[in-house]
Amino acid sequence: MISDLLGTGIIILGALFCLIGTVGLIRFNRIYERFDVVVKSFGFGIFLIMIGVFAGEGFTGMGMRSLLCALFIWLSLPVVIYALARATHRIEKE
Amino acid sequence: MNIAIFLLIAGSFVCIYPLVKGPTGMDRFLALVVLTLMCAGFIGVYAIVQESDFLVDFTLDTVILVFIGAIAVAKYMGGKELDD
Repeated sequence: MISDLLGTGIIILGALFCLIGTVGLIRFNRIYERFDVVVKSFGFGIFLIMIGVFAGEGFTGMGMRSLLCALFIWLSLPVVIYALARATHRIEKE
Repeated sequence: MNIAIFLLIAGSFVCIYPLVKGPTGMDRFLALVVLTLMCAGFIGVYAIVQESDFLVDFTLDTVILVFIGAIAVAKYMGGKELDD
């Protein structure tokens, strides 16, 4: 009961982070600022959603897989945004 | 839980605007990456609504797909081949 309530709260907080990041995506002007807001806001938002699924389910198979997904997005999203920003810098330099 | 689903769907509809407008191709691809990540989060929320066990696998697959696709597109737009 209390774990369901905690998981729902964390999931709503993560979805709110995603919505705020989307507003930042359409408000900023330069592309590097957009990369910055995506890697911060969406990394933390999807991470919080997956942690909320884990908090609602506990140590079952579903919970462990959501925890693995949270770990993977925490490691892979900065790499992705770094590669895109490096390609953008290389395009602008030419 | 319905509030979280509403927030994610509203964010996805807001995200269509830079996908259409964006001046360069990288802006559009960034919006597409964001849309796919939101889809991953939505599948995670929907898995806990449905109590379905294998929908969580789809979130993991979607995140891995974003990783591989974005690396490939970054290599392609940077003007290099995939093996150097």
